Amino acid sequence: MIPLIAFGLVISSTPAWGNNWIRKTGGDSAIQFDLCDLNAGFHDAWHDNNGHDISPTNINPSHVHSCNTVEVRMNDFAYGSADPIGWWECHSVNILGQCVNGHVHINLSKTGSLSTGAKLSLTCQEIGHSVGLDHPTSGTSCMIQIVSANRQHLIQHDIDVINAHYS
Amino acid sequence: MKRGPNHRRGVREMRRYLALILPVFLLGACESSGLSSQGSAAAEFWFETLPQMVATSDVVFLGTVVEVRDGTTEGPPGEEIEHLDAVVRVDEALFGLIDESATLTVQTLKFVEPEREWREVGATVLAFLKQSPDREDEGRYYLMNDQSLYLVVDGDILGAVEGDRLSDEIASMSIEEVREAIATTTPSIEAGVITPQPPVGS
Repeated sequence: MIPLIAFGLVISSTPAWGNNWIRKTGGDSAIQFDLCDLNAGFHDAWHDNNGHDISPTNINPSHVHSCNTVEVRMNDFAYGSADPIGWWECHSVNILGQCVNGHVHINLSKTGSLSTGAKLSLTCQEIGHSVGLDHPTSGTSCMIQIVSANRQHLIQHDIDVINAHYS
Repeated sequence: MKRGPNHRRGVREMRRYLALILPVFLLGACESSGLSSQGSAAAEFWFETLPQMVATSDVVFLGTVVEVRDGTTEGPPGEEIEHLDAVVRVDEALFGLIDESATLTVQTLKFVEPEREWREVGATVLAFLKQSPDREDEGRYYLMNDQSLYLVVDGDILGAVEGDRLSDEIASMSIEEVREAIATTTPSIEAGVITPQPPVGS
């Protein structure tokens, strides 16, 4: 009986997570990350970007309760024209489906002409992915797939979702 | 054979043990099925209309995936990325300089899985692609965003982006309607009336 109930909870949780633009399932800690590494990586990602040292001040970090062992890194490199402007990829998941190692990649081949606002939008979106947010199809969140200087922030809905799953 | 209390206790303990570990196995089976299952990309383009997406594409075609293979690995140590190349045979050219029965190589990110996986041999696709200008990419094509490739199953176009108006519109069309829409749009694109969408930042 217990396994069936547990399995039922897993299944029934999926639609709610989908409504919240969360792609990952597997529990409240579906994605964890090391805020210390993330901060360092955030600066490293933009080290050669005309001195723009973008701090994660547009990301409300209140959902992070502690550093932990899970790694998220931000990499920047001129990967070429055939790759996206930026993306998040999870390299390994544990048996519970939690991402335990992932990288954000910023493609410098395509970011050269972006305004500072658009760069903030891009980094906001990729960090959002690293904590489990997916692309909405409308609204004002930076998580909209196309990068825009007009969307540099997570909206309250995003933050609430993250807080709910990292509390 | 008569079973004693120790046997019944053992069975109860085994059931309790299974009850504890089975959910873990079920979770594992549900969630750890592949490395490429988690990832997401930002985009430089986003389209409101089919003509706009066609005008921004270098080629539009119906095709069949004939090969999927590991592509190049790029980046410095610690920042490498891996590509997955899909070789697609053009079954019907709809727009752009492209020969029917030609094969194109579409470069994708190995660890970023599309909403509908199309990188499988035998998959039929409706593709709106750009060609990389980089010499090292050797003429590979790439997707502009999640709106620009549609899986076609039994003649039906499947939606590419859940909840997106253009994706839903294309998915509601028949192949013949797509064919007609692109044919109607092409003269306006060639005349410069409908122009390609510039990428973000340009």
